[in-house]
Amino acid sequence: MIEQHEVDGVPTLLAPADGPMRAGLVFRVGQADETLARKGITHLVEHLALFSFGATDYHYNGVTGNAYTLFHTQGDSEEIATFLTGVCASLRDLPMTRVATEKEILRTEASGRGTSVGDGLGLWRHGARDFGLSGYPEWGLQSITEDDLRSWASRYFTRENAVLWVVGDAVPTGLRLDLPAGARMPLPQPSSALPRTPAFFASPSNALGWDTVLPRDTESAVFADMVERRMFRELRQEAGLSYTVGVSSELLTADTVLVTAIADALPEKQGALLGGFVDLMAALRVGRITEDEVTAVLGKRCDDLSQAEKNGGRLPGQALNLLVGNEIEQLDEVLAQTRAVTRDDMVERAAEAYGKGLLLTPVVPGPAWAGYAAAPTRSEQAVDGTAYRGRPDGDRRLIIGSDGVTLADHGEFATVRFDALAAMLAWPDGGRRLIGHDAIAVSIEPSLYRGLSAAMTAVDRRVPDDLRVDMPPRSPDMIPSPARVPWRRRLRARLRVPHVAILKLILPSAMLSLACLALAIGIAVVGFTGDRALQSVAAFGILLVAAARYARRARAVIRAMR
Amino acid sequence: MSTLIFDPALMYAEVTPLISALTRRDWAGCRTVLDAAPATARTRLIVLGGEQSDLDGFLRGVLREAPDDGAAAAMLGSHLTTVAWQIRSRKQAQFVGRDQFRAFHEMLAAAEEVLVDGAARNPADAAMWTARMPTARGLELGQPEARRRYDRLSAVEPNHLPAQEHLLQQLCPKWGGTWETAFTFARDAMRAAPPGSPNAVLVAEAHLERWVDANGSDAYMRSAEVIAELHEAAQTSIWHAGFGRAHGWVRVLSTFAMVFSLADDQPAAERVFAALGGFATKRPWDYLGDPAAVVRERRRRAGIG
Repeated sequence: MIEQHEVDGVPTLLAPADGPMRAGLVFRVGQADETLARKGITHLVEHLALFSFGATDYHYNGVTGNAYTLFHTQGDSEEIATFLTGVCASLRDLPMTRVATEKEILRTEASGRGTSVGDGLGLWRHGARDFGLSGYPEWGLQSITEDDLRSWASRYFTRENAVLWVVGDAVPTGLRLDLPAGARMPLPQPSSALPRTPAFFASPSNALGWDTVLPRDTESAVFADMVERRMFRELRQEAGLSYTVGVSSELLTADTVLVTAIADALPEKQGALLGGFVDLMAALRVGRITEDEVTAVLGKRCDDLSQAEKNGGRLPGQALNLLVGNEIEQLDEVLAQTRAVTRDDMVERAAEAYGKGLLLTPVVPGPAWAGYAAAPTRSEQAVDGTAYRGRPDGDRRLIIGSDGVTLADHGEFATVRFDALAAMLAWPDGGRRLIGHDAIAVSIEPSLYRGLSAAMTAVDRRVPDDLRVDMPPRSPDMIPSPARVPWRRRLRARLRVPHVAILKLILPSAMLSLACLALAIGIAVVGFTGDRALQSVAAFGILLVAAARYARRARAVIRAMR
Repeated sequence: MSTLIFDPALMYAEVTPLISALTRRDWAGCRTVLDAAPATARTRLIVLGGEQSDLDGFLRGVLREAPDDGAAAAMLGSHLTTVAWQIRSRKQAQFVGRDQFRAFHEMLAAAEEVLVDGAARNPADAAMWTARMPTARGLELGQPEARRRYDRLSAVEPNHLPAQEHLLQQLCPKWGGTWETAFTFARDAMRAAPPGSPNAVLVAEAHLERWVDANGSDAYMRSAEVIAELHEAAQTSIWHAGFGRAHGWVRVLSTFAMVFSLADDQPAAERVFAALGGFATKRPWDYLGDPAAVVRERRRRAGIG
């Protein structure tokens, strides 16, 4: 039974459980509330709030998620009270002397972490905003000021925007949560960067990933368990294509969840893992689900829920529920809802899940062959403006206009419009990278375009300060410069004809044409003298046909090679 | 000289009723023929049916009425795959134009979409999984995926020769495999099948592929080891007392006739030609040119008129 209390105005959930006492203070703020240009600010606040406990022997930790930030600890009643009271005091008055050091620590932490499969999926599903930001580095750290931190903390780390959970017999006496007053912040509305689903994108990875958006209810939770059970059986036990499979759910809005499935694979098995997963999803989509399977999943889920109730495992999830404006669900209620789930519910949920799915494939070709649409990797349109020719590759053009910038490369566009700009990275050497809301990016290296330098000032002027990210200087070898290319290679690149085609096709057809010409002259000469003209005409004809055939073949091969 | 018969309708009694039912657009009639056939014959009949032209609209109509009809899905998938390979033509990849390749891949993807759905609804249908072998090859989904599809099939239908023939192609170097894996697979398949089964023809096919790869070198097929292995394969299959004239037997014997003829083992070739009577299949003889002319010449060399 989960009891509801209040501590200093903060809603509090209390449930007794086996094992040591634990508590967590969770705020409705996370990376999804940030902007790309200031990404990292919540994480930095979390680090600063925990700084004062650096030397203690507490079991404590902080977590910055997409939609929430959690401070949690384990210990006796007094230790818990000291920790949480201390966190609140720090949040009210952040230790600004530590800012520079904590920024450095965060950068080190990031370099050792790398991005996860789920982060990649977020970026492709949502773009460079809200729930897609987890796929990007914390580029904002450099620019974040003390004022930024104070205003972020006073807006989000307030008593109205927090929930406390305590696994234990009573709320620790002496616990003070002295937080400033504020407001409950609604979840950010998830953006979409996917025009069509089911969709896929290919990305080098050691795992396959898939996610989908479902209603936040018991049926979806059971469905997630069923997908995990199938993945374990079909991909790991039966086919040996994957070792670790996992399915997780995360709140996306107050009434939807994002369900994410991940299966790792050895490099040599990735093609088969993709095929196996596509087939697994297809079987769910067409409703090949048995009563027995649903019964087994329900049984296990009820056991897991009862177990979680005993050890306090349901509390953190219920705290998040409360934080986004939903009611607390008691165990009996959840068990009754779970037992009421039917096979038909699962068939319905499976079709919905498939239709909204996004698949990350570590191998190409992606499953376009199974009806998945390729997620966009380029823009439909270019902006109007002045074009600057690339060097040495003259087919690449950078277009700078009043609406934005476009990189046009062999007929394909990458466009970032100023009114849909997520961030512009700026290096002291003049290099720029503009990233649009849809995650399409355009890199501008002034040295690689003719006559561009002057136009860059106009671009810089169009980008507001809060979208600009000043990057540290790059080492000279990281700054691109137009390579010197020998004239023969430049000519061949211009003609775009492979070397082998020149040797095998163009030279022989040129020689045949020359032979035709020689014969034609011969015929003309013979024609004047009136001797053996017929024979020469036949030979000329044969050579001409041979030359024409050769030229046609050459054309076909060169086109195929391009 | 006796006339040669290449028409499958004259070899197998089920072909005529199937084709005429297809021509009448009578799916119930097709199902009567297909449902009565054993697994291997059913798969080969589905492929043969899919080679008829203009089936797309008809079979899609059948599937709209009955989405779970595995035979219709397999035949439609097989039909679209046949159309895809006709677009690509049998030329070497470097002489196929870019647009042709795109159309080829699009048609294979259309086939695969039908087959993914069909396999999801009928996971134990051998013809479905067999039809998914050439799509995987054409779409270049790689060796592990081809293997996975074959494993799914062999879990429900072991020793399914039509799918084994496709996997053998995939395991050859021209599709990204190695000779070692190709021969290992062919030999394992031969040993796994009960004596008198046709599966040992895979060993002959593997040697034939190797011979093609060696630019048709006579020396390869005439080596003592190859001849010995061909005899072993023939003994466990076509020369075994248990070998029956099940659907596909003419192709099996034709393959053995060709490898024995290439090996210049005329007594063995004669024995196979005699068993064939006047029957022949275009494959594998078309490796050597016009099948009718080639078969006549090879029969003459073996001493059969």
